[in-house]
Amino acid sequence: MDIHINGKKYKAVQGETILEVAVKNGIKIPTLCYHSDLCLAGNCRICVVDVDGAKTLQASCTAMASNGMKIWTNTPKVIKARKMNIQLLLGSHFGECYTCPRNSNCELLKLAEEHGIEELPFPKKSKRTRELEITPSLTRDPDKCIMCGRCVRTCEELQGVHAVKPIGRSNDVRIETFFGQGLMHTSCTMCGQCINRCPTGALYETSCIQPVWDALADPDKYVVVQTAPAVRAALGEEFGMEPGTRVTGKMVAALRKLGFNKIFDTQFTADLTIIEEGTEFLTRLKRTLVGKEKGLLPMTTSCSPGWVKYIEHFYPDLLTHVSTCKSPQQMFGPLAKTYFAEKEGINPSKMLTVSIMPCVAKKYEADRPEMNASGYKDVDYVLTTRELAKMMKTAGLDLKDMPVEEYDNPFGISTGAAVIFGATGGVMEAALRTVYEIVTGREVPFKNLDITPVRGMEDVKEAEITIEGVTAEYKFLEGAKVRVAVAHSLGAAKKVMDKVKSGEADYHFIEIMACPGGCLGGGGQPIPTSPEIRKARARAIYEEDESMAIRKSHDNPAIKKLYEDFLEKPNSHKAHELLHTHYLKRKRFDKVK
Amino acid sequence: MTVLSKISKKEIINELDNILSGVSLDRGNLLCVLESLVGKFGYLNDTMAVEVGRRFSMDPNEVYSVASFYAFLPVKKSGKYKIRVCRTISCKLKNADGIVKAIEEEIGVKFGNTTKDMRFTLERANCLGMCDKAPAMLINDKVYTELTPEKAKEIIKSYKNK
Amino acid sequence: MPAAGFILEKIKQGEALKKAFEINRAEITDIIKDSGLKGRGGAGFPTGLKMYLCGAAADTVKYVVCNADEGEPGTFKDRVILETIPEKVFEGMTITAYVIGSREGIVYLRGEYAYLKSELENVLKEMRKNNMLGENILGKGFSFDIRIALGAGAYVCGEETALIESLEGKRGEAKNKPPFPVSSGLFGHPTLVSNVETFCNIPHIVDKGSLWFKNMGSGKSTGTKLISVSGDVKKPGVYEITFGMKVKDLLKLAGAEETKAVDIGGASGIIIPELQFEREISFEDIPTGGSIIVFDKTRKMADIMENFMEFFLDESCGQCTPCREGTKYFVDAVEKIKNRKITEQDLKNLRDISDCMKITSKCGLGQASTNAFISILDNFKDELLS
Ligand SMILES: Cc1cc2nc3c(=O)[nH]c(=O)nc-3n(C[C@H](O)[C@H](O)[C@H](O)COP(=O)(O)O)c2cc1C
Ligand code: SF4
Ligand code: SF4
Ligand code: SF4
Ligand code: SF4
Ligand code: FES
Ligand code: FES
Repeated sequence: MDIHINGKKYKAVQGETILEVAVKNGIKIPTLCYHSDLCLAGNCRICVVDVDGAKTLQASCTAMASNGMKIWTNTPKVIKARKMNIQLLLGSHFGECYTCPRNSNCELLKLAEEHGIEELPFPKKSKRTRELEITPSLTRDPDKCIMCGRCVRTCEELQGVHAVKPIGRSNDVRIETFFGQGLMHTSCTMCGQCINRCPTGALYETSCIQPVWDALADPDKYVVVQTAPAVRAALGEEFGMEPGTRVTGKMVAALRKLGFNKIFDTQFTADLTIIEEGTEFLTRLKRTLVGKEKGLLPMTTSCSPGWVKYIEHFYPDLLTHVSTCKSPQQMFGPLAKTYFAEKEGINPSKMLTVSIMPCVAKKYEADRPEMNASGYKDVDYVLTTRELAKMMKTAGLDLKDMPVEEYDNPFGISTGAAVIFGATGGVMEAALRTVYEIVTGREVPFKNLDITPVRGMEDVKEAEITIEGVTAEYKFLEGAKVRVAVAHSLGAAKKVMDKVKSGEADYHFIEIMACPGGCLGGGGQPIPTSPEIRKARARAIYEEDESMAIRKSHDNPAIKKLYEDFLEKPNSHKAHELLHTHYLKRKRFDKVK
Repeated sequence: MTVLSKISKKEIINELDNILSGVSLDRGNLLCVLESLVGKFGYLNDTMAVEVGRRFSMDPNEVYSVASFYAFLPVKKSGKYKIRVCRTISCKLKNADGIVKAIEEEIGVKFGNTTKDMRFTLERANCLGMCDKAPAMLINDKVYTELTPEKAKEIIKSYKNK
Repeated sequence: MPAAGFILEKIKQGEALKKAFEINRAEITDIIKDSGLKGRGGAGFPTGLKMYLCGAAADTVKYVVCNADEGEPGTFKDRVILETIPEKVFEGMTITAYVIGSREGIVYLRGEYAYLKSELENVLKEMRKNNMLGENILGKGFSFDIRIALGAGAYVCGEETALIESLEGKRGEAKNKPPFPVSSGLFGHPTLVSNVETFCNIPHIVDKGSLWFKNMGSGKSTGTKLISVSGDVKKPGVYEITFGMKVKDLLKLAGAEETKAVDIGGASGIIIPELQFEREISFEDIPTGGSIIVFDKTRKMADIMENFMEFFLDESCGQCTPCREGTKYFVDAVEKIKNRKITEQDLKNLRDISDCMKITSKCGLGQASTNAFISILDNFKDELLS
């Protein structure tokens, strides 16, 4: 099929939209409601183009290319109309760019700039008309919403949560929660995926930058920071680096410059999670296969707080399947305030733990009332990757200029198994590397330890490993075929959990991450996001794994020492007290009779 | 239909069972089920959305979103009798404003409001397709045409004891 | 004057259907095509072509949908049809179903007409009893049935894609076209959506032939048209006219006196001053879905503007930028006009917004919603801006 764009001929395939053909050929058409992760809406009318023979302009994101079509993307008529639609959106927008958390990458502001909007032909909305909604994880500012529906589509298509919907119609239409009852009462999982896809400042993380500044400035406070695996594969984007640039050492240097007393790595507790969770898995296997107990398998991972909240709301009867292990973030908190504090002689009441996370659900997780195993709030403040970048910019630190530095001991020592926690399939891969070796005394039978069947961006991945040549202790597993599944995004989680619920699934172990791509695509990561960006970040994470000296969690010497000095052994009483948790059966809508 | 300010979950479930007997749970029947619920209770609330969602295997918030689109599927408390006075042009030319005023006097609340006893809600409506017999109004499903202020008051009176 | 009045007349039920069964499907399509019948819902798409396209679509499931959402201000002719001769509509739908190969028909009846539902259902029951609907109709091996679905108060649901969304139990938001309903409509199946009056024409054309039909009307506008007349006239009601009738003649028929302006086509139509009463009602000159509203010399044009713009402010589905955001500026503008505060710059801006709405709105609602405002502005400038 041939089509003409701005007078030049291009090849197109049946079923391609005008926008797709244009993008493929390097022709830029501005868009707003379009997002490469989501179905087409065609409602912003920014991407309009002139098509010969059509009475009206066509939305290029939804209009199909057809043979012989003649398309004009930049005629005065097109530009004028586009500009007017931008002005119309700005006119009903309340908010000042200079105070807006999205002013560095707001798509609306960018369109305004690109189209040279100097003034609006009519008075702009001059006061707040809809209240802010503030939750521990995210903040909604409906006055900055332009009704593109990207959050709605994210929450519905990717996450299957349906927390936000368009309500009402006409000029009164708005994005709202169920009967306006609020995100906290209507099973929002706090995943923040909607934030990553919102083009404007209508959705953003609830910030705790200020209290962290205050803590850093307080000479009485000992502030330790932990950084999640996925942050190092994305932080660079905030400083103009290509997606997939690894910035671990530079990030450590920047954190030190910001004044944190110790720079630790959540990867340390990721390794610990593997030991605890792997041991728990083997216990569950034994109790099921030998003890014939029910309801223990498949075991699912628990390191994604968005996923945990999702299952609490949507499958409360299956909570026994969720590993009791806390997430690495929440294992870190109590260890810092007990083990580390004791060791260094620091009064834990003077210690503050801050974590840098790719996630906004972690903010909610840190606030859960049961997360105080140390006797204090285990994790005091959670900053997203974006918030860290903002703090660095405030302090005049450009990541590009940073030297490469090392994490502090002892919680800065980690393995390749821990870094891959940041990508979908990574926890599973790390767990298999360890569990297989515990059971057989040999390394997993995959070349270079790369368990490729659980890697990649397919929404549900399955694999099977036959266990052979077991050690005496694990005789009951000889010849067993361990079946595993990996799902990322809550929509994919639903597919798997429906099978578990119906009894159709024969998995033993399931990894679930709330966010597409795993934590590397988390709700706290740099904006924008797209399949390509997530692939680039995943590549960085696997490269990082490859580059690590130790690649199996059980080989982490600092972990071994932690057990020797403090925890005794995996799943010990003490480990249970500090590192394991319980879950809550939650209603979908807690205000509904 | 009874005047209800508090609707119990049991009543909702019973009514839904009633409405759904013989109706297939295709989403295509959603509007008609919601219309029946409004017919019975006067409006839709969160419990109804949850129950309807359960039957239709739909997310309750989707039910809410759909209902909120339609003028005749109120998602806020609303009276047993919805008086919808047409205020589009042909009726306007024939003193629709006078009709509204008369009704306001008769029920004691202003346009857009519901009486305390939850009996009447007075709303605007767009063209009812009765323009040849303007001015017109609907009370629930029933049409009244060629109204005068006096006639409108009489009609409202007849609903006071229904 | 309405010499050709036939639409509202009773016919011998089933005659046309029997005739249709005698001829083959392609031939009926050709007859309808040849008759020049165009959709009576407003857009005026050739009905025969629509039949052809839907008939040619490869699918075992197809739907025939009768658009009885009649929400355009000033329009009530479909209501009168459904009150007087619903069986003719149903017969038209049945013939259409036979032609395109559909087993299921749906009448989308606006919620405001809910009071008609039980009567219509009785008529359907009667037709089923007479084997004019249901299994093996008239023993000819063709099965088809019709049900009635109620709208719930949303003008935009008259737009065919929004109507289909609504039938699917969704928000009545218009969809991008293409795909058109004839290829992918209700639940993704080919769907022929036509207006109540359009279906009414079909039995007559099948019965009397395309020539008979073509002989009425003017130019490319063949046949008759029902026009709902309301406003400042002595005899409001439905008038059947042949296309090409002059506005002034219709005014005379309806007993209009001292007429200052006429709205043709409702809120999405245009408003013309006396000077233009010579113009004709036809697809070539002034097309209409079927209404005129008459305003006499006592009326203020700003009030009319205001009423229509408020209508759209209420009825936009709210999904697309130009229509959702644009309309309110016109409501504000009327206020300014009334207070004599409007400036030349304001008017220029409004025209720019209007142009944008016309060419970038997703559906016909937004594309047409400033017609009334702009035509009043153009035609009654002196009154408004003095
Ligand atoms: C906002 C809007 C409202 C409409 N309302 C109606 C209506 O009430 N009845 C109708 O038949 N067509 C209506 N239409 C036109 C329909 O989209 C469609 O073209 C028509 O039903 C096709 O039938 P026809 O070919 O017989 O005219 C409307 C269109 C728009 C854009
Ligand atoms: S959302 Fe964008 S346009 Fe609006 S205030 Fe924020 S930066 Fe500015
Ligand atoms: S945070 Fe996640 S669950 Fe909550 S509204 Fe956003 S996308 Fe939906
Ligand atoms: S909150 Fe953001 S993503 Fe959602 S509709 Fe508004 S602007 Fe779009
Ligand atoms: S033009 Fe108006 S009614 Fe049509 S899709 Fe856009 S907002 Fe909805
Ligand atoms: S990007 Fe195409 S309509 Fe919004
Ligand atoms: S204008 Fe009131 S019924 Fe049409």
